[in-house]
This record gives sequence, structure tokens and C-alpha cells, in this order.
Amino acid sequence: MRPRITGWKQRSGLGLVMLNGWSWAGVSSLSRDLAAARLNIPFLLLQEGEGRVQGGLALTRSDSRQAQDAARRLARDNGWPLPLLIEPVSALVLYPLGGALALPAEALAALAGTGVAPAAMGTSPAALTLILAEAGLPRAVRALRRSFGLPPGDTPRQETVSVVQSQRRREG
Amino acid sequence: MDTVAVYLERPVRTYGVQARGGFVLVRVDCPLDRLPSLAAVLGGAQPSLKFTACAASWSKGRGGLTVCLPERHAAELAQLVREQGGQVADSREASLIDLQGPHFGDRWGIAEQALAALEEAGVEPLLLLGATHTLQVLVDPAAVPRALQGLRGRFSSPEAGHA
Repeated sequence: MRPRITGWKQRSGLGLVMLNGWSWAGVSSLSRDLAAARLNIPFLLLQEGEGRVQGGLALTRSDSRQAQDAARRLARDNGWPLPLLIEPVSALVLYPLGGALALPAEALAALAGTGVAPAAMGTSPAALTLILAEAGLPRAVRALRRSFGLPPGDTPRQETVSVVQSQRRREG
Repeated sequence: MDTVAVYLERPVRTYGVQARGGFVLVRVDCPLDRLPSLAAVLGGAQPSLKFTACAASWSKGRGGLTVCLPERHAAELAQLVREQGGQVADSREASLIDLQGPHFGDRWGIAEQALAALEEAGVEPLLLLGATHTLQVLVDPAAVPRALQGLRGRFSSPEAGHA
């Protein structure tokens, strides 16, 4: 039986900064720089592979360029591989996840059939997030809609979230 | 609709900092041209394989899939992959630490706190995944006590009575 989703949403205008070949200490240094510049990381996928870090960070496009600049500086200063920026990309979030591998597998199979591969994919306990090149997004949306049996014309809701972090400690 | 929330928290408040063991982290090499057959066989497995975290990335056609799943399902996954001519690049025991908090995916500094905590604890994660409101950290089981101690120094939780 094919997996079903009950909802999906989309966050457009992102850039994916890939840090393949970095060390964890290097990634930690970059995250300090990004936090100091107050750059949020909506999606992060980093894993150990052959003794080095593989993966990257997705940020809004303007933030991703700042992040790439910061990563380039660190890479040049420390002799690390230069970061690769993939943009523009969108995050497509499908839920619920349900804990069975059938959902991510079905999503990957649907995308593979269209020639669109996610630059990155990751799960949280509740949802599956796909990071896709925006050029292939319409094809990806059609394929996923068909694969998960969603109504014709259904499109993912655009997500716009703005969070303000105060410089002052919260009262109470 | 915009959601506006205001935060400044040190330590960062979470809904919980929990560790769970008994998992295996399986990394499957999968060039893009093999993705359709791999996805089809994984999706078609009966009964469906249960997992707790899954990640994938491809760059310039190279990449693959990483799945964290209960030990009892790991051998089955590896067998399915091999039957498709795929290659299991790595398979190792892992424990999962979950951190969930309000708007974690919309606030700067969350990943920095987690990475700093792990670095101070001398723990290099096997996988760090941040999506929606959750950070998931996969570590070697032997590193769980150190990782938890480090993370609980920077993230407070209800079970610890919040800092």
C-alpha cells in the first residue's frame, strides 16, 4: 500500500552551502560566525563520511551568500575545501512521516522518475524535508502530487515565518 | 501567515533532551542513476522498514542515503540494498539524541549551541540533522553520556527542571 501524506508546505528562496570535506571543528567555527551575524539555518544536514564532514546548510538566499563568504574565509585561512553554493533551492516539507521508510522512498522514487534529485533530504520525527533546485520544482510538485494521490492542482502552502530574537533576557 | 515570536534564552529551552539507543546507522552509496531502483525496492519492502532518521544528499551526481533504524531492521535493509547491486558504505551502532524546541528551525544560534556543546564534550557526531523544529544528533553509543552532559549544559529541558 502506498504511503499517504496529509499536508505539505514549501519554503522558497534558499541557498544550500555544501561543506564537504570539512572537519567538525571547522563546521563549529562557521556556526559561531553565522550565529554572530544572526543568520538562521532552517535546514542542516551534516554527516561523518570517511573521516570528514559531508553535507551542508540551507539558509535564505541572502543569508546563504553571507554564509558562503564566511565559509570561504575560513576555508582559505585553514586550507579546507572551498564551500559550494547551490542556489536557488526550495525546501518542500511533507507530513506526517509515520516512521516507515516507505514515505521517503516513495518521494525519492517519484522525483527520480522526473529526473529531479534532491540536493539534500532529511527527516524530523514528524516530517520529511526535501531540498530541491527551484528550476525543477514544478516537475517535482507534479510528480509528488501524483505519487501521493493528492487532488489535482493541489500545491504546497508557502511558509513564511519571522522570528525575532531579543537582545534582552525574557522576563518571567 | 507570518508567525512572530521573540526569544532570548541561555540555556536554550527545549521540550526535551532525550537519548535512545539500539540503532544502526547505515550509509548506502547511491549514484543518482541508481536512485530509482533503490527507492523502489526500499519503498516496496513488506513489512515496511521502520526508521528513526533518514538523510540523503547528492552533489554532481554522487551521494547516497543514510538511514538510522532499529538493529532488527538493519540487516534487512543491507540485504535489500545488496540485492539491487548497491553498496553499503558503512554500518555502525548509533544512539540518537533528539532536541526539540519552539521555532528551532527559525532561530539563529541553535546549531551553534549544539555544535559547541558537542565540541566541548569531545564528541564528533555521526550525523547532525536539523529540520523543522528538531535537531537530531546521532553519536557512537559510548559517547552518549558525554554528549548529553555537553548538550544539557547549553539546552535546558523539562526533565531537568529547566535552568
